[in-house]
Amino acid sequence: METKKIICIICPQGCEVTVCGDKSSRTVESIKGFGCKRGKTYAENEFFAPVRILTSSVKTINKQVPLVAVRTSKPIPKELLFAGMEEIKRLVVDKVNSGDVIVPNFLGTGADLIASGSVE
Amino acid sequence: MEEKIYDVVIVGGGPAGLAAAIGAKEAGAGDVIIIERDSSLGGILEQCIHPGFGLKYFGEELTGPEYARRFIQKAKECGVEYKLGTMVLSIGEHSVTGINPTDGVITIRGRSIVLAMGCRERTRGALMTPGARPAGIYTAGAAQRLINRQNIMVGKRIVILGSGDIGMIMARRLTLEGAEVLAVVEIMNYTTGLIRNRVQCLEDFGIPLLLSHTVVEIKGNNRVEGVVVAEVDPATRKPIPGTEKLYECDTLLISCGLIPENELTREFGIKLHPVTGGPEVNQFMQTEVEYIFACGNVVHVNDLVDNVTEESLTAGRSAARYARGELKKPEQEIRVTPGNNVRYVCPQRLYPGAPATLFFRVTEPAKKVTLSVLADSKPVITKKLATVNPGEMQRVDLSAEALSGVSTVLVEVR
Ligand SMILES: Cc1cc2nc3c(=O)[nH]c(=O)nc-3n(C[C@H](O)[C@H](O)[C@H](O)COP(=O)(O)OP(=O)(O)OC[C@H]3O[C@@H](n4cnc5c(N)ncnc54)[C@H](O)[C@@H]3O)c2cc1C
Ligand code: SF4
Repeated sequence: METKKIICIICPQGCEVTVCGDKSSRTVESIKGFGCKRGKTYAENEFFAPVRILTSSVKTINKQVPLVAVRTSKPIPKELLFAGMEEIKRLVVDKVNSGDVIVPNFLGTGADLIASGSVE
Repeated sequence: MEEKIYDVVIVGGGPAGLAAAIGAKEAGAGDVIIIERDSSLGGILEQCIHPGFGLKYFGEELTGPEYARRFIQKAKECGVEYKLGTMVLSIGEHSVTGINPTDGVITIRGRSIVLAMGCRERTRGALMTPGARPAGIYTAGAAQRLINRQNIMVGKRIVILGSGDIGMIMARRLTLEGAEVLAVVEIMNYTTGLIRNRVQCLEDFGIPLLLSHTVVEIKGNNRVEGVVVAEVDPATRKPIPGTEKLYECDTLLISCGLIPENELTREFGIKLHPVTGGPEVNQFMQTEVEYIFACGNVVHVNDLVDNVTEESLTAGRSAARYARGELKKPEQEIRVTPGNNVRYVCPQRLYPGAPATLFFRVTEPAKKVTLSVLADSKPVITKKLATVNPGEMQRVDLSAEALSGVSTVLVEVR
């Protein structure tokens, strides 16, 4: 059993939600402090498997535009952020358009690494 | 040759200028032009590669460049003209004068003018610290531009002064890039940026946040070698002797807030509001000069681009209406004043009998409070709020009826 305080970031109220539960069996013993249902769901997800969108930039071969912004198409597990950065550092792209997939199924997460800027 | 007169001339091609242009076209304006000094449209969003844009407006989490792109495309589709690489030097009577390498100095005439120059980072005052001025001191936004657009890393061991949004966002970015952020140092006893950023940029990475602390000395001659951080008295914000601690770092980032970019506005003779640093406007985003409108960070610093878009669409629509002869200055405007625990309210003036959205910021953080809007001392809105923070802008919508036949509006939080 584990207890965690989670600040909900869905809206500016910033409710402090306290979740008590067991991660391995994915059961919630108690949850309190949320101001609305969206916050409850958010806090549960944060408790079991926090996810974040990773954004960074990738080197290009274009001298005028040395970098192009990239992001994961969906949030990925928080603990994979640094591994994701390592992967991103190795990449070099040529021409890309915003929305182009650069690495499909990034780190096996089901999310793609996509360009969020363009290099012509 | 008859000189061309645009219906709407917009200064600045960031999210504010783009939305104003789209708003103007949608409201039926003829020729609309954006004048932008940078080589591309999009404004500050081009360097904000982090997510968190558009949650309100599009209901999805976009990065800055993605958000900008949608508006750039839309503006192009509806036939907005634009001149890039053109720095506006002055505003004149129904005209704007700018300079660029191909045309030299040019004057562009417009029935309406929209100011959308954005803001810049505060630097002076923030650095009232004794010590030399070695290399390795950047504003957070300058560091963001270097890292995200030019691939230049600013340092390895970093201290950030100020807990504004850009500072917190850079703390995360630098950490992900492999640097060590030793601390974010904030003189107030609360973070000045969004809660979302405190959680996702600092707490996610275990970056220490030192509230009621400040940098009192910068060490190093050629390059920053360290900064001395001291606790401050929360009441006086003066450093407490004996609490100094040395942080050995090679870089100091400053994130102490933004100020609207209003040299052009001031030089034209439009008064700037002492708190917002921007021109006063009414709910149509019309300044004291009836053909000049303003929107976005040039009016007041916004934390969310979604709000900028909303008020800028209004500015553009209003500018289009003015160009066809509507929205002349009313005989009497309603004065809006900030009451208890309200730092400022924007708009500051209101056209009577038209609905209005008021944006405001509180002075102090507080929990379980009541927001009241009083029209001629009579409450027209009372609302319970669970938490208020200076870093999060609040809004309240007023109906046309509430604003009929009144001469003052007061907003207070207790
Ligand atoms: C670093 C940073 C991070 C942010 N993070 C977020 C976030 O996570 N989520 C969110 O919703 N919002 C965020 N914001 C806020 C949002 O980006 C701004 O509110 C928005 O960009 C303001 O738009 P604007 O058009 O008023 O200003 P700007 O984007 O600054 O655009 C102003 C434009 O005017 C041009 N200009 C200025 N003067 C002249 C002149 N004399 N002649 C010609 N052109 C001129 C400039 O070049 C610029 O292109 C962030 C802001 C910053 C600075
Ligand atoms: S729980 Fe609901 S009310 Fe509280 S911060 Fe989250 S979204 Fe807002």
